[in-house]
Amino acid sequence: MEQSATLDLMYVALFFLGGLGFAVGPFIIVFFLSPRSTRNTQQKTKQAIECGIAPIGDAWIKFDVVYYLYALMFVAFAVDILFLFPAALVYNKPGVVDGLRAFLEILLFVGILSLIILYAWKKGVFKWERKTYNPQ
Amino acid sequence: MILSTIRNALAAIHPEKIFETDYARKGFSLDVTVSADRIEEAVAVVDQNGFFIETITGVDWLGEKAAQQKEAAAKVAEKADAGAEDAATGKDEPLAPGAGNQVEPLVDDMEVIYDFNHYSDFCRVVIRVRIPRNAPKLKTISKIYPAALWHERETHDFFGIKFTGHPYLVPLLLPEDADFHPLLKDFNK
Amino acid sequence: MGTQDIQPPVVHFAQLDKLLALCRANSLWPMTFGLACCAIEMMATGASRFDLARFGAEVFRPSPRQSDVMIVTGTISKKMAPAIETLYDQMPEPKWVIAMGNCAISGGPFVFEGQYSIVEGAHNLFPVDVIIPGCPPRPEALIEGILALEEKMTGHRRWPRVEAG
Repeated sequence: MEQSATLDLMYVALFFLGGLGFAVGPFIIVFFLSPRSTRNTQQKTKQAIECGIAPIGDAWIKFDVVYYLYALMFVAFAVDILFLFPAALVYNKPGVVDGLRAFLEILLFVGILSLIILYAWKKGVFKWERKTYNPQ
Repeated sequence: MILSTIRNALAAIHPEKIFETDYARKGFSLDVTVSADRIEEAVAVVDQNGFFIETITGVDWLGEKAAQQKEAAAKVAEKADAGAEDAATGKDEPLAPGAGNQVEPLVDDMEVIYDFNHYSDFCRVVIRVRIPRNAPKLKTISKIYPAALWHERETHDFFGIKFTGHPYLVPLLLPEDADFHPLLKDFNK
Repeated sequence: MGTQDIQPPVVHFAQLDKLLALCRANSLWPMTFGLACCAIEMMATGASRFDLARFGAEVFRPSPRQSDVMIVTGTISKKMAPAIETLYDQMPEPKWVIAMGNCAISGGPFVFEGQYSIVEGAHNLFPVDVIIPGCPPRPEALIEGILALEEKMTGHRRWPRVEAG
């Protein structure tokens, strides 16, 4: 039992290291293989790009609140999916009656969570009327 | 007909010259010359009749007055010759004063030309304004036609004509710090 | 001018360089720098008849930060020169420049004594790697220019050279 637990831990550790490698690896490879400077005519390499002219205005502007509401909806449904994974494992029972019962229970769960969409719809979250921000 | 409407409307403000032209030969139907202080009135009349501005450009008339003087002197010389012959036959012709007597320097004109046109009834109207070349100043028409903001910038860019009241008279086509005016006749000489 | 020597990468050995040069040559990402009529020919080259996607170079990036090669197509006016230089600066190494058309090479038909408005050739602003003469050059000529650039990068040519006659 302990060996199997250690083995599982090893698997988790390897996955973790692999993920870290994929994340950090490109930085290391680029550090070693990239040219270390850029040819310049006007020393404008680090300037923020605005099609060849000096940037106008600040980048930290007000965004429309609709983006925030969409993000909230996304988070709610992500948690929804998170809950569905263990539910799918637990309700994995053979047979028509048990399977039907499991199906109906999960349907009820997802249905209640879908009321979020209805609420958001009624509140006008899905009407994308962007108000543009004029920096002047 | 829009042509007669606009002709009457412009004639009412007493321009210096107003006449119709042959569109097939000239490309416009009405030619109006106004003095520099009446340009805003004329443009307001054109705006009230539903025209839109097509372009603004300039003409540098450097050397025009000298050429006119030369022509006048040549004509006088011709007349004097003819008069000398007639005097021999008994006719008396009053002699015009000699052209060589003028001492003060000639100040030529610059001309600003505005083209207007109409959306539904095609009719191109040209308004010309003459201003002295050594102090080229003209009132802006951008309060009536905001599209003229860029046209006037371009005309200032290339001819040096200052449009008073223009909110942003910065070179449009030349680099922003350019201080030369390429389409003047004495540029690069 | 942009002729400074760039420092080489930290790790630098021949086989890897060959591999990297091959990868870069086969996926050159041009920057859309169409200024005038030659830009129309560049667009025609990117379209379906003279497909530039065959050479990996179809992805025209609007941002200089994502592009490898700047194809200067068209007349460079003095008003536009600072913008071009800024965009050249903002391209990361390794970068190349192709001057397409007579105007980008030497001012083209707009050069006369006492001209006040154009920069006579992109080489006055930054180093140019390949020139494609023409007014405008045909799309096949632009493709030949891209192949010449690939040859400059990798040392050998992808397509056999077509001899005239």
